Amino acid sequence: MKLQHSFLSVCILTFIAGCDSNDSPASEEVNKDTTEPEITLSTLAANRSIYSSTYSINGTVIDNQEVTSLQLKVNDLTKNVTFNGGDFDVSFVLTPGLNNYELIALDAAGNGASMTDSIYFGQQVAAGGAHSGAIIDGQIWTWGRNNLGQTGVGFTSKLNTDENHPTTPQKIEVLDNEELVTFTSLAFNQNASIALDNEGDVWAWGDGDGGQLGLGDQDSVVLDVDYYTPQKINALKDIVSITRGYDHTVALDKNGQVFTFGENDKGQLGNSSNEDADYPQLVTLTNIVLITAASDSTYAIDSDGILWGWGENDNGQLGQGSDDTNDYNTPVQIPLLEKVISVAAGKAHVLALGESGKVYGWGLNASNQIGNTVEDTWPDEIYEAVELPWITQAKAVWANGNQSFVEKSDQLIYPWGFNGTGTLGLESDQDPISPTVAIAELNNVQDIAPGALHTIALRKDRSIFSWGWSFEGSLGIKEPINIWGYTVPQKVEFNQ
Amino acid sequence: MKSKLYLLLNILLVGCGGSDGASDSVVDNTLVLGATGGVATVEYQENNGFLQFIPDLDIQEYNGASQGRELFIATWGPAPGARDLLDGYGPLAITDSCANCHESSSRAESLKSDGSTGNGILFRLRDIEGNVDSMLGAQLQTYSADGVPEGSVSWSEGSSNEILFHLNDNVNALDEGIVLAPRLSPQLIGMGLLDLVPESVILEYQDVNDTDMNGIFGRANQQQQCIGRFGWKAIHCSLDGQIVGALQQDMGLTSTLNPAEPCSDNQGICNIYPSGGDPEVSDKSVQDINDFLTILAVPERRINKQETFLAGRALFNSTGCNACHRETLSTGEVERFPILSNQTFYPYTDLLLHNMGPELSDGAKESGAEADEWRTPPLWGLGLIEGDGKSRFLHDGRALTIEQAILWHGGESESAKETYSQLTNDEKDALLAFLRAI
Repeated sequence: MKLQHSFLSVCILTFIAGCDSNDSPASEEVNKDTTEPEITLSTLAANRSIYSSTYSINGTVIDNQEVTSLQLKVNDLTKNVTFNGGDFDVSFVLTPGLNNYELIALDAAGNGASMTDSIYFGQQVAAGGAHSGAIIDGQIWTWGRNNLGQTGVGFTSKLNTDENHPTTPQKIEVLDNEELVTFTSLAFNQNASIALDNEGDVWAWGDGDGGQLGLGDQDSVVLDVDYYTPQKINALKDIVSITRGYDHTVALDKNGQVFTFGENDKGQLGNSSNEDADYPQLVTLTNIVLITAASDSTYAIDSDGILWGWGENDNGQLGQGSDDTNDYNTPVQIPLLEKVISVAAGKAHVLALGESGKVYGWGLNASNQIGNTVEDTWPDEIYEAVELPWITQAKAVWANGNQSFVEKSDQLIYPWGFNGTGTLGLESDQDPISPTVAIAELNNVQDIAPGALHTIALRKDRSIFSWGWSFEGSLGIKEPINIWGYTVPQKVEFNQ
Repeated sequence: MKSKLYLLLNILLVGCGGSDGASDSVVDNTLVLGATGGVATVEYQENNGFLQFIPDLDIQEYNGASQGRELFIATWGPAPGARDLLDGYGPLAITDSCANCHESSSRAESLKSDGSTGNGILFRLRDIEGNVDSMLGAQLQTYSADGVPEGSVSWSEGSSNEILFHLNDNVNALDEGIVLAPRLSPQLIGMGLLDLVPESVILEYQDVNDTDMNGIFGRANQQQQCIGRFGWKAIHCSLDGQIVGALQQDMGLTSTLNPAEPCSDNQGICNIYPSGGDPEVSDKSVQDINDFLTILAVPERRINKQETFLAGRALFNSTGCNACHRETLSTGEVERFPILSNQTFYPYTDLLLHNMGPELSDGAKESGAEADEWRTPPLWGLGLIEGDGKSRFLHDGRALTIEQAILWHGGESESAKETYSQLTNDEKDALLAFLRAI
């Protein structure tokens, strides 16, 4: 992608042509290099969400004479970028939330060019079993199912019986020491919710079963209390990323360490135990940059692009070449043919995005959520990573339940897998066996949150759309048809 | 983004010099037609042709169309139902879902081969003066919550190939003079465009006194304080009116605009069964359905051979078909869907009432339209359903093909029909090819 560049500090070297001066040779002025370098990036993030704490950019920088320096400015840090034959490839660490970065190139004559871009580290929208959320201007908005207080509005409620049930988005203002908290990321799954604030603190609410809210003490009693408003997890700090399985929670700190809590019957906490934990457990991995979770298994990518997994392998979701009922309560490496830059997990299937843009899948394939051929040659369970032949140059992958989503290079969202409740946003009742039809008109997507049966999407224009299973107000729309599948995305209205 | 192929297909290039079909002299070789539905034109998809959204409409601008789609395809149930939003069906009705009568790629079955009638046709109950049946009201409802519907209708073919309808299973005989007045259900494409045509544009073609002496009158149905444009008799002025009329009469659902159940004063059943709310369909739901229907796009033309299409169009005009089947209409400024503002489109209707002669008269005056007066139906999309095994044409479904429909024309259109009949076979083929392409 070729990007527009702009002049930088050209005034420093400005000389005015034709200024009637006789005191310098005219030829020198005529031959003076005034052409600025040209920076080209392979991808422009444009505020989109990613879930890795590091981000890599690559591209080219050229000049009619010679580029003398290329610098990257990100989050008030400046680093020199090496370039080889004009090509550059550089990684940098993100801070949770919006990261603005700038590339600055100079040539020998002092001509400068710069370009800016931004990327969001974290999940700006969230979808659980049947509740949903979004972060708007640092504040949490939620709606949907609230039988266990998972929306965080301060009470439990039901759609048909409670007038104040959060059918449409409600703003959840959280105070910490009487200060309004600003949030950067959300992770909902099933009936519990967590949020990350800009101080690195994590807040939890909703279903407390199995200690998944992480609000307990370091004792033998597992706190399984439900909370109806966000509660700060005091045992965590300096967190940069959060995610949830069905009944467990995962957090990544700025040092690349992974913490887990909640149900542990399958070893999904990765702490060499099978006991539930209401207090964060340290996983024996280092230099982790991205975390995600399936129902009862957990995944982490390290800074070398190696993927690790632990927990349940009943459907081959750990990609070890077989399925078994063992509880993998310590991390195992998942063999892949290339470095992984992102991973998404559904109930029991996994999609890994390689640095080449190829996508690999394994685990449960009962709804063709990994994929299938028209001859139905792909099995219901896939035990090791297979390259998905329908995808090249993928930008991002998402998954939950038995459904999958990929953003292809045309920047449209292609879903596949289970579609019985309108989950995929397609005008069809069929389960697509591969990602070949895009969700109509859903372009410029910045973040997607697949819930159990419904989906939330955020677009570049900051509009938010929902589709799929409407249950207890999960879609955030007025007068929803309850217990109903919506196939066409519709805009969620926020009454600011 | 959908394909822009239609733009290419719809640009009819200069200098075709066709030799088949009509004589070259009537072919306007400089002709350039716009897209069938203006910006609301879409590449035709076989399985879902009538349920495609406007391709260039940003998802941000769908308004309530997503909800409207679900309300349209949903099966509604009697009150109280599990879903408040979808209850209130009946107690008298014809069917429990909009989609039962308006299908995604065809017309719903009307005249079944076993002699019964299907969801694709309903029956008004009127006499020549416009009176309704004192017991059954203005429309026959074939479903009743108490298991005793107003009746059912079978059909047979008359000696002149006309369709005869027979009322069966009815407890009450119809009042004297009241007839079964059949109304075939149309495919729903371009409804939003037709809704958005300013009344002044419709009146441009009105010629109540035939001042131009061409035998074509054209009369706007102005029985209300507005100009009727929807329905076989142009009895509804707006898409909202059409929607709430169908909700009430076909599904037994009340709305703010039509607050009563479809019972006559002599039918007590509507007082017995519980209501699904007051009204049963909220204003928002009506708007949502309207939004959904408004953003349904018109399929692009399907032109096999350009020269033939051009020749057919020239014949369509020279035979006088275009005197009623007005080629283009245009929308005004549209606030809710700005993309639909000032669109010129090609429905081939003037939205006016015309006397179609005694053979097409159904003996029932309805809401300002005489028994032999019919609103010119749009012709777009007819080629997509002709010969599909169940779609039929004209108000009572007597025509199985487009040509049969032409040959049933009478009254003001008698002359055009006669001219058509005198065309050579090649010319007829060209004209029919044109009609199938639009």
